[in-house]
Amino acid sequence: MSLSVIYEAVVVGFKECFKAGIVWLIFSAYIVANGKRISIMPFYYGILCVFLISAASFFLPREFVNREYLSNFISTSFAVIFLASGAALFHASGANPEAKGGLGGIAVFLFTILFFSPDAVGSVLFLKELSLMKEAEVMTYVSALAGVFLAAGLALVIRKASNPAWLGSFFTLPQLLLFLAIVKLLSGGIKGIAEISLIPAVQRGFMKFSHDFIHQTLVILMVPDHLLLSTTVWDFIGIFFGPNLASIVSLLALLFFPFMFIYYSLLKPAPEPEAGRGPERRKIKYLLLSDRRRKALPVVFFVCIIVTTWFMQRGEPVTKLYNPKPKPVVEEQGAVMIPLDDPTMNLRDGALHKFALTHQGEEIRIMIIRKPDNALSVCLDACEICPPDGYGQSGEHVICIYCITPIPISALGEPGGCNPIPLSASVDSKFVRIELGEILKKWEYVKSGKSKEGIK
Amino acid sequence: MSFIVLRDVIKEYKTAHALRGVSMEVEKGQWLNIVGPSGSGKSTLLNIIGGLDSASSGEVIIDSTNLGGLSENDMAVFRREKIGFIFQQSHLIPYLTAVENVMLAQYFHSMADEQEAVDALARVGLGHRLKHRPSQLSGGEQQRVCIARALINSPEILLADEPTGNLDRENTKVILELLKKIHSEEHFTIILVTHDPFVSQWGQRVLTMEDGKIKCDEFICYL
Amino acid sequence: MFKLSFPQAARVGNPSENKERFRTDSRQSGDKSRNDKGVILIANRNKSRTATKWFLFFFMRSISQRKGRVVIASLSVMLAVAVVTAMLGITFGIREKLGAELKAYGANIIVAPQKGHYLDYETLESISRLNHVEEAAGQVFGRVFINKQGVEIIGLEVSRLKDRGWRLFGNWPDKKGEILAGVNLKDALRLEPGRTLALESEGKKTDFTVSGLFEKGGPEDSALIVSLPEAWELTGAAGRLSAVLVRGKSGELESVAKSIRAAAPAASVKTLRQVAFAEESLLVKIQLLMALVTVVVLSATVISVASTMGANVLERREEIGLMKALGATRKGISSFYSAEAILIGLAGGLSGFLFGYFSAQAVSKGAFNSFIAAPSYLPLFSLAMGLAVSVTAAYFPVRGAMKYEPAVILRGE
Repeated sequence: MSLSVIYEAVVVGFKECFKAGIVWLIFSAYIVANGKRISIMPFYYGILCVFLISAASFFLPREFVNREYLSNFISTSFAVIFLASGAALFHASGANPEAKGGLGGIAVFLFTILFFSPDAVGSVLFLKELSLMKEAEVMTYVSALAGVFLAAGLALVIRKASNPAWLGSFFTLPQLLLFLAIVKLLSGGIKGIAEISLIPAVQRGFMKFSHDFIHQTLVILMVPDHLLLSTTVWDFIGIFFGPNLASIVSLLALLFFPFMFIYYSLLKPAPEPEAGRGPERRKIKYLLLSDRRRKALPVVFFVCIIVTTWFMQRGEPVTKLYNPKPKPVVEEQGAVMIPLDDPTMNLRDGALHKFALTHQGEEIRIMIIRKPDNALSVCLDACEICPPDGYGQSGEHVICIYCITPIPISALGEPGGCNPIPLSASVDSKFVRIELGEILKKWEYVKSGKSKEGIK
Repeated sequence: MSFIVLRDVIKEYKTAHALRGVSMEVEKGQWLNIVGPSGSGKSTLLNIIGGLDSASSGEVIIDSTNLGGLSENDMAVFRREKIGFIFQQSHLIPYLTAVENVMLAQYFHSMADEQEAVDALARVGLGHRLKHRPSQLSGGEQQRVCIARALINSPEILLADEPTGNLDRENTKVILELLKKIHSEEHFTIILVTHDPFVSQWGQRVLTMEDGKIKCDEFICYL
Repeated sequence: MFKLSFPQAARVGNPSENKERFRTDSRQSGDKSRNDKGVILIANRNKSRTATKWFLFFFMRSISQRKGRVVIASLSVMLAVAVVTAMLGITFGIREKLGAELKAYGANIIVAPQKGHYLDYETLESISRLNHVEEAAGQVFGRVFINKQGVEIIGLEVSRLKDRGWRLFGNWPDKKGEILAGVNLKDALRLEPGRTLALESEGKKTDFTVSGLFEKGGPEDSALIVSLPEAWELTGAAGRLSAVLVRGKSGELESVAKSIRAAAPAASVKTLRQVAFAEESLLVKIQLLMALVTVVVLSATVISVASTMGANVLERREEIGLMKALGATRKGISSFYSAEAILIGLAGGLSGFLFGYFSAQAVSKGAFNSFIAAPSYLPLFSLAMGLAVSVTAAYFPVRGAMKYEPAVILRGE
């Protein structure tokens, strides 16, 4: 038991500190390469503040911290930083090759706090829970500290070995922001190494948007509900909001500015220096070109990372999903009662549980799963968009079998899009009780979606 | 301080001494000819000034830079920025055309610029032979391509090791006239090694070497 | 330190200072050379080339002189990569066959009755209700006669075979009375999709339509596949199963196997790993042999490419010396040779992959009567191997060439 505690604590401590260390490394190199026009002190103050905030969160009672909110905050901060870097790259991909970066001290300070504190607070809370759960307080904190020192030492060693002027020559403000976004992307989660929820979120948003748009258009045009016609139309239109196209389009949307920047840096002709004769002019031109190429390298690198994580996210094969056979349930006095103390199953084991209710010859599937905050989420095994093929479980996500959209288990219970349709249910100590009326009402959504769109 | 300063330069090879203590100074813009019998160390001296070879002891200071303290990489940068070479053999790349051979020098300096290379060839009178391979050019034409290549990056020093050694008198004269014309326009320093008394008359100063030492140093009339 | 004499305007770290000294490339460089017609042509054609393009230009010029050598070096890399790729492909193919019985049905646990016994359909139902069981399917094995000729039949839920990598010629059966036939029966029974077969068992004849032929690369290829009820009808043993194939949640296999053993104490329960393990030890020996051959082939290739490269740099000593005199750094000169090595590696790796892959398929078709499903990273792996071989081979000769003293070479004695 103790070994796993040590391991987890060391990893958490190491991760948080190494993240700060690597940002410090690049940020100070950036400052050196840009002629020390800004001071690094606000960054240190920011780190100090993050430390204080996480220490404070440690002493807060548990109820005061909403983990849901925290994890949303983490992925939102990635999105904000990524979009900011996109905007900066856009600025830099115009005629002016060097975007001028004015970073105020206060901005650096606030940015540092925003960047690090959600994760740091999350990690502190995780450590606290870990120590309580495994009853090994001293060991947990000592291990976490060891991780912190290990990472700090590593960062210092890298700093010693690297040449800040060389390192900094790869970065201007957009690259710096992009770098920060990638650090967030790869290490944003509290416990896991990668929390890449932004990517599916963008994809889902796009699919929902195009689906709703086309749906509304068809409703306005009052396309007759002729089955054959609507089937063909939807087969055709389905391409537009099908998972593959949505995925590629949202990926391209994310990568548009980086691509534009790379195109500009690698392929646009060099500006012609007015001064200097032959060799001197050539040399100025060459230095400009090579600097431009050098600044494009980190962008290329980060694009590779984004694309890789993207495909790792979406290439989740359906066959690997955990998709249990639904257990039959029956309606009793206008409600479905699912026992909590059934010896053959434990609803709170974190695995997906499915139940099938047969109503007027139709099979209606219900899924129940324990969320990370220990609440039971009760949903229909279907969503508003796709045909009701249902969901399978893969780790921390349930995944729509039809469109392969991953949905974080922590986000279950939200309606709309490709989310499973939530059912309001009451949970007491013995049963999960779902009113039949509620089930049938929500099932109508699925059916209406089916008949209107003609998707089999 | 003079532009080129050599102090007590000694070069030893495993079996013999090539230079036995050479000290000299060359002013900027001067045309210096080095003459002497073969084996007297004149080519070695030229290579040491050009950074192709290094002195065993002594100091070589060019434009206030001590060559002894340069790393290999800095030495390459020094050569590309400050020195142009012409050799007895043309050393043109056989599979590149005349203009591409000139552009290769531009490429290693910074980046190739075809227009500039074409202009440089036109200046040495080869505007009509841009697309010819070295094998299609006569010996004199080849050496003129070499001059264009050596001067394309506007070096401060032109080092020529027997540039006319393979040429007849007619062509020798053409090459020397050309050098003189460009030199009078651009005022770079020329150090030219030769054993031919006809060639050594062209220039402002003649240094006679024998057995690794300077025997005689005289200023002459610029012919 | 010798200071690079960069013009003041070129201090790129501080671009705002010299912004006014630049403008974008709107002026055509062709303007300057109106005096000479030939000049204009050349200038206009090349004005947009950037530094990278010039590198490629000089590089292409340089290797166009030595196409023969490049081709020969690529060929030897290709042969090595082909051999290794083919061996890897075949090894993967064999590995694929391990436990293929289960994988082909998408299962990872097999439940078989004791010899001479049967499993009940109730057992299947109780297994499918166990925790972490995603799917459980029954199979019935039997024997029927076609024109007094014995043929194996397998009864199962045909719909579960879809998307399992079975090669189907024809259609999946979707009506009662339609069956699938293994591809090996095709010639023996002169089968084709749509033909009707009379199966004889227990003294009575029943007509079936062959909806499609399939190929799986296993013993099934010599059998007929029918639906469960039809199999029960043919074998006359309703409700009995010869085996139950279970898909448990991966990671929970051992606990699933345990609970199945508790639910069906008379049956033997084996996980995919246990089935595969028995076949594994032979595979290890084959792999060792292949690794040895790989090492020998790769080192022979490295040596042969290295000698080609060595001859190449020796031949071009003069050129290297000249480049040094022109002020090229070691990096600048060796980049041409590295590019050559990369080109050889890519060409050899790619063609080697194709060659090796198709030979592996041919071998596999001959030996196992089925094609290999190569892992998706095999092309990348082959390419990387080609690159590694040629870059390693080029490293030492090129490093040696960088040490030439230009003064000696250029004197040309």
